[in-house]
Amino acid sequence: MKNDFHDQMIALLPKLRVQALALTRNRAAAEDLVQDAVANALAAQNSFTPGTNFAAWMHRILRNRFISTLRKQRETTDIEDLPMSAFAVSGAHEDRMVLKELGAAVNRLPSDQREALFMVVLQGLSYEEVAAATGCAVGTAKSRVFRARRQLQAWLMGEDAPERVATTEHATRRLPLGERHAEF
Amino acid sequence: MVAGGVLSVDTAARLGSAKAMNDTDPKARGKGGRRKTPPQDVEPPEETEGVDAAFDIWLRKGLHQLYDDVAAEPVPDELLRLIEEDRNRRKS
Repeated sequence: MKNDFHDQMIALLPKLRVQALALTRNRAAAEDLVQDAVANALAAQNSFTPGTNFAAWMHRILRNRFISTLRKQRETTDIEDLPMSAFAVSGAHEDRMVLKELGAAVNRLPSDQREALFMVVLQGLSYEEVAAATGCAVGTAKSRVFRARRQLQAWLMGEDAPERVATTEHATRRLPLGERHAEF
Repeated sequence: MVAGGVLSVDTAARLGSAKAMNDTDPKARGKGGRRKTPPQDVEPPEETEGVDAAFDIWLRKGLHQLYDDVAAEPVPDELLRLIEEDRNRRKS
């Protein structure tokens, strides 16, 4: 039903914003990404089968749009971290500093791990929903969240040396071809 | 700040640590005392293995503090307009 499609899209926008924020680490870029993804989805509306998982379909469109834009721009430099002024944080100075460090650490995570972590923690999605939204196996979704949490713990509590990016890439090479695409 | 970490001694102490317990958990290690590596077809490890439960609670709270307000910001009018214009176009 055409009305349901547009209503579902509007209802999903906040979650799309969280996903875009996880991928881009930049508020302005996140807004642009959501808008581009919405435009793509509206144009491809006829390819969506009513009654199927709209959220997964829409999340994948946004993700693919991000990958496409990233490859075009060939970005290799870090995007600015979210400034502390962007957050409505109250409390002691040390608490703000710790939160700032958490934000910086989150931004250092591989994109796929950060995306999965945000979806589970901030959006309350199940691993099955994360897997459907990101086009990976449920086990992969779980591993991404697990690795993100463990890496953040290592960085913030100084327990272990941070995992090398090569570790993620090495794991990526061993994944089936269909899942390798997701490890951007 | 703790050397090599970010959290202060007090904060880290408040979080506590179950990691030491995990490290001694025989299930967490394979033969020869080495930590088992998950198989390549991504059979996920136990969700709490190597992740301190108290840290996890702190992490969730921290992420919500950082991002909930941003996520709750109103959707830009331009975006809503884009969707409504498409809806109206398809109705006519």
